[in-house]
Amino acid sequence: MTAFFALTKQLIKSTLKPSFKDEKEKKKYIGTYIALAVCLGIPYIIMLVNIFGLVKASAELGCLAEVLSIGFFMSQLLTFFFGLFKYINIMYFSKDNEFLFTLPLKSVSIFWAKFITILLYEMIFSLLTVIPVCIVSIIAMATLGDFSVGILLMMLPATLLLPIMAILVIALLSFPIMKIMQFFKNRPILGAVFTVIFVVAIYVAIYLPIVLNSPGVDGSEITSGAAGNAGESVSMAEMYAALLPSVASIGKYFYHTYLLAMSMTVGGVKAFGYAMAFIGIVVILAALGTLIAMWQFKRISQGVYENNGATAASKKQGEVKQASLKKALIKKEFSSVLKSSNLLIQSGMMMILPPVLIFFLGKMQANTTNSFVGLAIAELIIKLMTSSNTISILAVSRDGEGALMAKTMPISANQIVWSKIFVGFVFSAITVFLSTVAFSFIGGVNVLQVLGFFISNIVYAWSVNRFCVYRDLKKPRVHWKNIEEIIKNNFSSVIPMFLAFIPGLLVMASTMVYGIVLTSLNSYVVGAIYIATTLVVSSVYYLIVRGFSKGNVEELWDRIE
Amino acid sequence: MLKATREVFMSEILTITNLSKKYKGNDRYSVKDLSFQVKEGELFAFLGPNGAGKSTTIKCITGALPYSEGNIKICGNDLHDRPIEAKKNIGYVPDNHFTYDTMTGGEYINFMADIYGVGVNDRKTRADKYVELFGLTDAIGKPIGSYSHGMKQKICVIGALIHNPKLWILDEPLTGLDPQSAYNLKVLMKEHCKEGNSVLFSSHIIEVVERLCDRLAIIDKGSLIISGSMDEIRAKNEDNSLEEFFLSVTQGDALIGDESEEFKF
Repeated sequence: MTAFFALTKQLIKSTLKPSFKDEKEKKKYIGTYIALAVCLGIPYIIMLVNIFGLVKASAELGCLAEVLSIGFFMSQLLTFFFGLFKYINIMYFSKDNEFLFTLPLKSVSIFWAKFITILLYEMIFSLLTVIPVCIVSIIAMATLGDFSVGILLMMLPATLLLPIMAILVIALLSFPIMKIMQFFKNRPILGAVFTVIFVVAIYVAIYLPIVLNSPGVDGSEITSGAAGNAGESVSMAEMYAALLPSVASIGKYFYHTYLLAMSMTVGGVKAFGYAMAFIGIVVILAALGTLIAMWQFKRISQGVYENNGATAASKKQGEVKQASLKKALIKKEFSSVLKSSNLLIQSGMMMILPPVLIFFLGKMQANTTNSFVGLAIAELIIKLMTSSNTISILAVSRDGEGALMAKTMPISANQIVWSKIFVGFVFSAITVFLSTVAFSFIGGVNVLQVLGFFISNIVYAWSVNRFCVYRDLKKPRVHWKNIEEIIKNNFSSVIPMFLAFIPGLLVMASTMVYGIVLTSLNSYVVGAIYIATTLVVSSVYYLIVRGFSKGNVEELWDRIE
Repeated sequence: MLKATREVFMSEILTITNLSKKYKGNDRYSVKDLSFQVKEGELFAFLGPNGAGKSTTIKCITGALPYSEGNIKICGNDLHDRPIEAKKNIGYVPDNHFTYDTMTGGEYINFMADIYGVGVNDRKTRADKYVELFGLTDAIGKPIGSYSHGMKQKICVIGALIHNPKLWILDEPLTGLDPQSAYNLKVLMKEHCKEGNSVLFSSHIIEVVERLCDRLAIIDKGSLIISGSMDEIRAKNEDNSLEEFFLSVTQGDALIGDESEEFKF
């Protein structure tokens, strides 16, 4: 047991504790987090205020458990989404595995030590969602004269158990994912394609029942039906009364979170029963995870770092073709991306998930309100996802010490950097194209909305890739032995995504305002206003990025060491 | 005669029987039907050209890699059946010198001591001795990420010796060490054997093997070419140096036609 605790302590420390070269770097790190907290704090507080109203209304309408169930499920979905690749990287691609298996430790101990580390890492989402939602719910219920003991009692177990459950599901899914990747070890593209298809199938399996069961409520029905007369302003209470019971009914379909929500809201012995049922599911998943881990974890992990012999690509070494410098650089970039399974899967996920999410979430929202809400959601998703393009985020770092070799070659750094932006952009452009296709299938959208969505996001995609490449160029991590090392602990990936919230939320908010406030105008006129707004936001973003990345590329390249 | 009698009574610390290892997705065996023993108090060298299968064998012995055929026994414990008991007897210094970069040197040593269940007094005595020997006193409180290649290797050596293992395994141990540290390490390897423990190390530097080891095994293309004491190998080798013998048995691909004659040292 001492060895297990020593290992867990060490893994937590090495994964979660940031290390700094000097005091300046530490201050910069803290400063970045404070700035992010301030930037995101305001929308976060607004969201909590809205949740307060939502909880109060749902309690009055008798659907609090359903609403809480949806909230808890969303929290798990966040953990799942952000945790899946974190889990695979820490559990299987971590370079310490080879070292750990030589120590006198059971493989199950290594599995659980890593699991606890990942859990602590991912608990951030439940800390930011479950606890505040529970506290807000308690306050909201108190204003109705009902002091909710159930929520208070279950708040901390829920904060812990919801992410445990999500990570256990990831753990179980990771076994087939890793099996697929290992089966196609010598063909990373095929492996990535099958892995992406598998994960997308999981998302479809999650969203399809929701979409099929989501009630169809038209936006105009809310304005006219709830207020009585068309054109009159609609109060939030009236909107909740018209929408909540039917929308909240989705919460019942998330059986596990519904059990938890019921344990918080029903009271008495029944509450205890619901709590036990929820805990029972977690225990069953944990037992299943342990069993499979005992059987498969070591085998899969060792398979990852085993030398895999000659790859299919190496057999083509005999081909000799001459290419221009530009083509050669682009070819080299594509080749390095396509040969890394992990990088390819991450990029593939970011390419395929946005259209899937946009289609299902947009479809759900289009059913309940109107197409502009779907468009607003699509805008936020596409901006967040194109900002998470690992190919550009690690544009220089993924070259490793090859970047130092490139310094000795008679090539302009501008050409290298341009080829990196271009290749990152190609992946993002495919994302934008597929998302536009998915978006056009939401229903109720017009050609102007589709066109505006595509053009503005293409501009955004170029800008964000340029931003990511320049950011990495300023501070690349080129000394690694295994590319997974830099993919795993990559703080840089968070910055562009957080920054994407600014244009994303701007476009999202303005689009929703058009869709809800300007309902009396012709939809093409609103579409034209949307195009103008989103193009302005993307262009301003491009200009800001250009300003940021104006530094001397040659000089920055020279500084790499 | 006395030496031969002593060898008979020396117990086997490591016994490898018919070990074969094939990497996934590879038709060729990386290690094929390999058998040898390392006895108590023995400094055993594992010699072979690049890609011969030395590191693969060592990784199989330490449990880093699975193997499908054959047996590995460490101090009588079969690595498949009793992996924890077997690994408790090993101290391993890998060729990649893996450590956790965010840890300080001191934290790493303590971590390794915790894993192997070393008592406070023992860990302090051993850590002080080795830290001083390798000149890491000033660096011990600094993160390993700031260490040089050689310093990382030294901290790995200390981590591997903190539980005074019966079998100390080193993969290419002298690469990247300064002359003083290389000398210290060689002395330490000898001392470890004198205390009744054993050392198994891989190398492709023939001079080091020749001077240091009691017995050696030469491996090429995954198969054992020859194993025995230096005297036995010299006897089979007639007048040639170990280097010439090594190059002849491994069909040295570095020989450059007839010109190689001019480079006899």
